[in-house]
Amino acid sequence: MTAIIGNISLILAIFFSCYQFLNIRNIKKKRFFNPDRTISIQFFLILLAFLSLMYAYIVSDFSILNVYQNSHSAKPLLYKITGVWGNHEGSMLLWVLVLVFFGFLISKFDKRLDLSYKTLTLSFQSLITLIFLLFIFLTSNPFIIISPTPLNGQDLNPLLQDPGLAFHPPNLYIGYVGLSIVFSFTIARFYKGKFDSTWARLIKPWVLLSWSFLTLGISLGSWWAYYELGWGGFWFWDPVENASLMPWLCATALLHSTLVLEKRNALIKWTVLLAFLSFSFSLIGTFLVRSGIITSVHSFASDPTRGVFILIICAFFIFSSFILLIKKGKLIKEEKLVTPISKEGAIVFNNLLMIALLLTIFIGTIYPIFLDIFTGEQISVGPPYFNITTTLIMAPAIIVMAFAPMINWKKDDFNGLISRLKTILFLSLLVTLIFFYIKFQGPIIALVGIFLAAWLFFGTLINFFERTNYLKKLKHLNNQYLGMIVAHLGVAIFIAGVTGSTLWKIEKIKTLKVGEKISLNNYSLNFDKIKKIKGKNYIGHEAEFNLYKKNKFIKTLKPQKRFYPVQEFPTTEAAIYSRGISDIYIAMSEPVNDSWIFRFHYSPLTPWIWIGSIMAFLGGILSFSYRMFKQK
Amino acid sequence: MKYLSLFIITIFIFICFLFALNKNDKDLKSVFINKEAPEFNLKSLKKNNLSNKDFENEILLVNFFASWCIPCIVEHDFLFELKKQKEIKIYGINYKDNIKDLENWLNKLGNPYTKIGIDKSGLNSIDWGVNGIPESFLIDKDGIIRHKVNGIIDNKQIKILIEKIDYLEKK
Repeated sequence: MTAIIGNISLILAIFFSCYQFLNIRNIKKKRFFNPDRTISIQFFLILLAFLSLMYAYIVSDFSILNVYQNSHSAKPLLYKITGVWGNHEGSMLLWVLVLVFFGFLISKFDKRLDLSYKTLTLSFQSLITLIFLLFIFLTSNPFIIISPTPLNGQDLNPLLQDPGLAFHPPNLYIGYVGLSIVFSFTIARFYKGKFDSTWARLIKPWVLLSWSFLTLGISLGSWWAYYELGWGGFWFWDPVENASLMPWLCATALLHSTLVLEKRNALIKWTVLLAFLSFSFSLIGTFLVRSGIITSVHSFASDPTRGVFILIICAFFIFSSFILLIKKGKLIKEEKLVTPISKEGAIVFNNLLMIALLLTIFIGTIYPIFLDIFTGEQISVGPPYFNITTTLIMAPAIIVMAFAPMINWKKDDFNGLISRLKTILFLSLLVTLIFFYIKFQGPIIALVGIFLAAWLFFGTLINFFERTNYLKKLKHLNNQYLGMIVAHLGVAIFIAGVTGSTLWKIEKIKTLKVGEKISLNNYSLNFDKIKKIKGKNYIGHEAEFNLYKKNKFIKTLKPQKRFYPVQEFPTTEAAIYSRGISDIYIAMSEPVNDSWIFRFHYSPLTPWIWIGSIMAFLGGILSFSYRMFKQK
Repeated sequence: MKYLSLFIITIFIFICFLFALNKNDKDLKSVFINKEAPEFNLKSLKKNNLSNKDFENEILLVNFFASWCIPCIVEHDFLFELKKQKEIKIYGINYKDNIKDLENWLNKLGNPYTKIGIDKSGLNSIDWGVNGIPESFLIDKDGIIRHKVNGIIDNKQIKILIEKIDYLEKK
């Protein structure tokens, strides 16, 4: 029954999205219908399909192949629900749900659009929906029935049974798919209206929203990797991680170039190109993840036929936007930018660096594919390449980022800028020295990292003080400006976090028996107990460590090693003691005779990575709320 | 015009992606291939131990399995099928299992194995680089690993295995 409801709503949704897309033909004749109703119907149909799949998961209906392959009756309820998107088919359905939800939001809440432009945009959005629905229906239908009904399921990959990961895909998808709306807005503009500051204001909130949720989604995934994979790192330059970072970089560039377009009526072609690129990279990301073309820790789904289908989808959208650009790009008139010392100059500089970084990461990610095709050699490009290139490209970007918000549009006085920079330079050198003095020796590059973080932090702060006339004019601030300040401060804190976490980390791998202890920085850890544990769908061991600082008891830490019998899969649940400025991290490994192998980390400033990311997210949302609801 | 060069690069990338997809060479290449099988000595289900000594002068298959592993049930029939198509010894290494469960399992489904070694702790499987079961290794006359199957041996894998065995026999 559930499967029938699911299939029927999918088919109806295909019909309605096709119907809405064909509405495009009526626009020239001015006989088009209002898209609100068809868009709402699409949304509710997909929602129905999604809810029925969720229902099948909750009641463990193993007559549905997808539920059988990815669930188990003994699984906790939360993971039955999140298991819906813990697999290829369900996650594609979630993707389309978010897609139609965005259309729904626009049709209901975005009052700034005139009817014909809105109709055009939503018709193009329906085309994207239609193509993805066909993809789901033809190659990845989650509602396939098996007979006879198995007694129990094969369970969800235990690594995915975790709150961090449960909510990582939906957030990431809001980000990815939000970029599709920006794409539709752009395509539609080629046929209706022109690319000007009004257009920049129209797309800006949607870019902000997708950017914010991409930020949140990526950081949730990274947080999950940090404590669940048991390697103690937060970013591994895995192809799939890169696949999410590339659209993020592109969206960041787009976010800033729309500012220039809005204020100066310049960078139009560049902004259009970025809008296309952002969506193209989220499609390419989907392709890299879903086709299994690159071996990665995320290779949950690998099926070449699906891969070909997604590749065709990618090619369709990317080439049609290229053709539009080539055919109609010449008609775009824009002002030339001439002054390098100006806000737009700084933004263009950072835009170029973002895209350079994007291309570097893209090359690093797909290089193994090329090498494999041409030479048959199999390699993977690892952290050394990415760390060096990212640091080199990002360092100048951060230097500029600190003062870009301070300088004026069109032309600024170079000398006035220098005098303000002196204060920032003094403060950040001071902080760097303090860090150097307190306790960390570490490599020189770590001090560079701290310096950059402090530079950005003080630059942003001073800008804030100047603008508010030293906090006297707080009421005049708008959320957009505040959002920028919060997000930029977040980036500063994030950089400090990354620096501390990667360069000052102390790692020890020790084999311990019960009763033994180990010292880590100023702390000592006593291995007190080991006991067997049994969860709803796993068994395992839990160790108890008492954490002391200078003989003062602080906390008991309990790392676990779990084993999920149904999936025959072990997982590591790290125990983390976080003080806000540093983490003590214990991950449990294999037993050897009567002792156990443990991995200990002292990672300073690691919590700042998440604090910074959350701030960036909140900043984006603040700015979005202003753009969407306040600005006229 | 400047878009044109970008256009060509994109087409090139897409063609490469297409080639990579069609290559379909998704075998995880084990580092153990063309190396000697790791040394081991395991208690066997019956009296004698299972160790490298059993590997002498014969092409054979080592299969890691467990009674709690659902895919292993599926694979079980194919192991019989393989033996039907090609005379080959299959040594089983039982991974982190309960002996009683294992005996029941074999009684119910039949026993395709010449001998079964018990790897209760799973440590031996680490030596072989096993990262999930079922996994199987094809070993030649000199005790060298020549091929690895990740996951279930099905009809397609049987075909590949037989080709490899024929090749090794001729050599």
